[in-house]
Order: sequence, then structure tokens, then C-alpha cells
Amino acid sequence: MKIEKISISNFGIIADVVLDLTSGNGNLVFVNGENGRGKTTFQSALRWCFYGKEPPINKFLSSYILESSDSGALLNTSVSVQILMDDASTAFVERMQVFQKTDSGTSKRVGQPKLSIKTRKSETGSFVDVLVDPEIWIRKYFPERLINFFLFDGELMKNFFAISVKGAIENAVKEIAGVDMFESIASNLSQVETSLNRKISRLTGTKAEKINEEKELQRRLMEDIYSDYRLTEDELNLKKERKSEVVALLEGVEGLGLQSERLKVIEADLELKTTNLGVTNTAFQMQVLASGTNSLLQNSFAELRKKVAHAEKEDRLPPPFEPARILQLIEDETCLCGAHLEPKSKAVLKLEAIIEKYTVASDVGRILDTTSRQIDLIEVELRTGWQFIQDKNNAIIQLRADIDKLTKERDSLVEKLQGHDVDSIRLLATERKNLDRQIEALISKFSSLKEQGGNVALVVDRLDKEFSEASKGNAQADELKKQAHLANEIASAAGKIHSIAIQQVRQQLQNSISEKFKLIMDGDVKTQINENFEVRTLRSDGTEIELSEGQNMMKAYIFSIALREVINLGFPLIVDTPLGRLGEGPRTQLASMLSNLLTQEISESKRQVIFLMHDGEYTPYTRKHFADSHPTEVYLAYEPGFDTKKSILGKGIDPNWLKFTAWKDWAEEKIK
Amino acid sequence: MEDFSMLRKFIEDSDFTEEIKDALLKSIMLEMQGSPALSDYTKLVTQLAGGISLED
Repeated sequence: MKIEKISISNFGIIADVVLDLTSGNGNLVFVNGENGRGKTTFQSALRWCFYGKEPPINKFLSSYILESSDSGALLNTSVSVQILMDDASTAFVERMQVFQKTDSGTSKRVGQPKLSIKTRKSETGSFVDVLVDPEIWIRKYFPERLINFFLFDGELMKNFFAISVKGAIENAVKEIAGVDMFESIASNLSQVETSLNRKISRLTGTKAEKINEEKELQRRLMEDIYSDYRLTEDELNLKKERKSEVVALLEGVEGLGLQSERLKVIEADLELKTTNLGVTNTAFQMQVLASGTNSLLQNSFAELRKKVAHAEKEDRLPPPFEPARILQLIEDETCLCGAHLEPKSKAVLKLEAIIEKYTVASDVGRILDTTSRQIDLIEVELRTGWQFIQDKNNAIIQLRADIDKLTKERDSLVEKLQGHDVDSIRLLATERKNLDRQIEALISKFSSLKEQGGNVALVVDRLDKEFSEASKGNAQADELKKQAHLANEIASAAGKIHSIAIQQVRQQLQNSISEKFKLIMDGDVKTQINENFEVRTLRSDGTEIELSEGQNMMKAYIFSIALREVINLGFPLIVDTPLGRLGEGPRTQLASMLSNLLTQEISESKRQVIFLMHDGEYTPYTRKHFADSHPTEVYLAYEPGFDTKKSILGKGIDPNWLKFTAWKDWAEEKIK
Repeated sequence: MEDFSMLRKFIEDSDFTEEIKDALLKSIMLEMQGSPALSDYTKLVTQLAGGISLED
């Protein structure tokens, strides 16, 4: 489909303009103009012509024509477009509104806007009115739901994905592709079936009515389960798809991922063991110091023990109890065992003798006794200490051997992993493990929903039979049953096609966008459209790419063009301010990317692109990116003497622009 | 209609019977006319079932 001619008469600032695209490159058209010269009015005129969208009343009829007319004059506003259709026929679409100038100098409508459409089969044929209602014809070729994707303001492009609330793109795509019609059909026919079943039950009695109520309930439950089942299936497919990608990415390098994991473990182990070695070493040395001091004393132990033995032989060692405690027992006249101690008795005399012996025992004896006990303790400590030292020594030997082994393994792994993005490999390996778990959980949920759905379906089947039985014997009801059954069959088919269609449209869009991204971005970049129709731009390893403002605008163009491709729509892409208000650098970058994309779009598909650009967008620098496509360049400018009221259309670059530095340089061939 | 051709293809590529495919195409035509009423579908089903209308 290609627009061959656009004629605008008395529409806002555009009093009388004809854009003829039958010669030159009519596939890429730049309508340029400074702000206020009528670019937006130009687009607004096309919106009105195709979709009947009226501009505000003060921008409808040209003020210029109104002011220059007499009171009571009938004034026509019209927009007509001649289009070469895909079947080689030509269509002439014209929308017109008649106004009348009032005595107060304003305008009033006369009648409703009139749309007329004529077609001719070949260039030599003559135009004849279409047989169908022109509004139906125009809706057929220019569906209103496409308006925001193909006749839009580029300023909004940079926010195309950002401003879209969750589901907005999804709804738009489904609506544009028309696949939601299947859902609507399924829903409408289900309602027809429900309505028919209610009529049948009313015709055939209370029992049938009750069964029907229960059946409706069970069917609603089945629909809920089915909806969940479909979502689970979608999610499962996406996860499986992602797993295949991850597995492919890990092919040949997965070993590196495992080795990288091992390296991580080794590094942690090495750190732990080195710390342990330090701690063990310190404990070892402290114990060596302590035991060493004690062992010096050990040399004198033999002499000391000899002296103790000698003192013991001479009975000069103190008794193994306290004399004060014995004296207390004698005074209390009670033995430890509780027996009475008779003063001056043999036992008492014996105890008094012991006390006297202790009293006369020499200090040396007491010292020897104490020393003997300390030697015993030191010897125990020494034995324990030596055991401790031996254990620590063994531990140190083991730790050193471990550290040595780990260090060798680490060095070898570091050498193997050198030059590989091990972090990414590690992330992918982890992602694969997670995907395995998620897939397992989804399969389990999927099976459970399938079983639940199957059980409810059995109940519905049973109720269907019971309902059929309960509503037997009524001719009218039998007729309605036939209809209800058919409604059910069509609704079910529409529901199934809806699911298939959504998946296919999503897949086709994803492929088309991925393919087009290669034209504008280096490297392995791919697009993923998930079940919510969120469009993500990813690297080959699955991580998301942060896009610049210009790239985001480009992504929106790609999306829009891919959508046209997927739904096989030939309607031209008409964009006001296509490069937005970007700075010089991003604007040039966007122009370069757009040029790559559009070169293919307009040459291979014969699709048409019309850009309406202001002087800040269309500079010699942006122009050079499109030069190879030889675009048709026209400009809107004020007609001399009618400033701000009337714009005319000229060919090429606006002569006024040539006064600007860059365009002046271009005119003087300083810029190629 | 151009985007209708895609919907038509979805229907034609399906495994449903010719009767159901025809019913789906007719339903699409109803949708294309914009917001069809339930009664439009009821009429369609009646017509497709080859029966008489038992509308209230």
C-alpha cells in the first residue's frame, strides 16, 4: 500500500496543499518545517480523513479562508488521499465538511462530515464509488485500533515501553493482531450456550434447572482451572526455552563453570586452612615454651624425690591432716566417727602424740612434702603438654600438606580459566540449576492442574448426561440443545485458536524484532517477549541490556515495524517528530539506526514511511544518513504575506533554512 | 482486510471441521462489524444449526 497523493484544503493552517508522490521515491518521504508551519496539522488532516478524528474546532476550518469570506458563505474543508492498494487497484478517499460563515464572523457546521471512496482497478480505468458503506470500507483497510502504532508522535517513542503500564503492550498487540477476537467469540458463544441451557431447563422442569445450575458452577470452576493451566503451560514453555538457551551457551564451557565453582571453594578453603595454621602454630609455640620451662625443672626431680624419701624414712614429714582440727576433736570429746573420746584415754594420747610430732616436724620436711606434691602435678602437666604439642605438630604438618595441595590445584585452575568469562559461566550454571528446579515445580503444578481439570470435566460430563436425561421429551428443548451443543463446540474451538494465535504472534514478533536489532546493534543481541508481552533486549548470556534514550526510541520503531510485518499490514508509517527532541549525538545515532532499518523496510517490502520533521531534527548531519535512499523532501512554510495563518508546500529544503549555519555550509557543499 | 487474513490463516490451519471453521469465520465477520450483541451470536448459532429461532 502506498499513498500517491495527499490533498488538503482549508484545514487549519493548511489552506491548499497537494503532495504528489507519484514520481521520485515515494516510499520515503520527509515533510519538513519549522514549528508552527503545519506538520502536526498535516498529520491531523490524515487522522481525520482515515479515522474521522476531528481536530479542535478552532483548528478545523482555516482562519485565513474564514476571514477572507463574506458572511453566509459556504466553505469546504476537505482532505483526500489517493492510495495504490496491494492488489494494484487505486483508491481515492475523501472526507469533507461544509461550514458556513455566520454574521458574527465565526463558522458553523452545515451537515455532517461526508466520506466518499472511489476505486479503480487499473491506472487506465476510471474511478467508481465503492459499493459498500464508505465507513465500513475505510474501517476494513485502516482499522482504528492501528492508529496509535502507525500514525503517531515520535516524541512519545522514547517512552513507548516505559510509560506502558503492565499489560498495555500485551493488550495492544492482541488487539492489533486481532487475536482477541477469538477470545471475544469464545466468550460470546459461551454466553449463548448458557442462555440456551437456561431456556432448556425452564422448558423441562425443576430437576433439569437444578442440574443446569450445578453444571454452570462446575464449568466456571473448569474455566478457572483451565486458565491457570494455560498460564502454567506458557511459563513452563518459556522456562524450557530458556533452559535450552542456557544449555547451548554452556556447551563446551560447562566444565569451566564447574571448575570455576571448584576454584571458589578452593579459595575459601585455602583462606580457612591458612588461618587455622596460624592459630595452631601459635598454640604449638606457647605450649613448647611452657613445657620447655617445666622440663628444665624435671632434672632436679630425682634429687628432690631422694630427699623426700629420706625425710619420710626419718619420719620427718608432716601428717596428712590439720593439727587444729584434731585438737578440736579432743576438746569436743567426739571422734570423726562419732565415738566418745575419753580425756586421757589411749586414743586421745595417741592423737596428742601425732600433734606433737607435727609441731616438731622441721620446715624442711614441710617444704619437701609440698614440693613432692608439685612435682606430681608438673609431671602430669608435662605429659599432657607433650601430648598437646604432638597433636598440634601433626595438625601443622597436615595443614601444610593440605595448603600445598590446594595451592597447586588453585594455580592449575587459574591457568585453565584464564581468558574465560568465568563469572558469566558460573551465573549460567547457577541459572541452569534454578531452571531445573523451576521446571520440575511447574511440571508438578501442570500435572496437578491437568488432573483437577480432568476430574471437573468428568463431573461436567456426568451433569451433561443427567441434564440431557432430565430435559428429554420436549421438542423445543431438543431443538435448543442442538444449538447449545454447536455454540459450545464453536466457543471451544475459538478458545483453542486464541491460545495458539497469541503464542504464534508473540513468537513471530520476537523473531522479527531480534532480526531487526541486528541491523542496528553490534554483537549477539536478542529479544525476548515474555508471557506478559514485556519486550526485553538481552545479551547472548541472557542478561538485560540497558538501552540509551535513542536506542529505546529505536526499539519502539522496530517493535512497530515488526508488528506491521507480523500482521502483514501495508499501511504507511506516518510519524510526527520521528527523532524526538534528542541532543545532537543521540539524534545522529538514531538517524543512522533508522536509516539502516528503513532502507530495508522501504526497499524490500515496498512499505511507505512519511516523517514530519522540524528544523532541530532534520539537519545536514541527519540528512546524510538517509541520502542513499534518496527520500522525497518537501517543506511546509508560511506563504509570504500570510504569516502564522497560511502554510504552503514547497519541494526540497526550505530556502529559509539555508540561512542557518549548517544548511548554509551544506548548500555551499562544505558538508557532504 | 489485511490483518483478517492472518486470523483466517489461524482458522484454516486448525484441525477443526469445515463446519466449525465456517462458523469461526462468520463469527470473525460479526466481530469485524464492531461490538456484536449477544443476539447476533444467537442468530448465528440458530442459522448454523439449521434450526428455528426460539428467541424470547
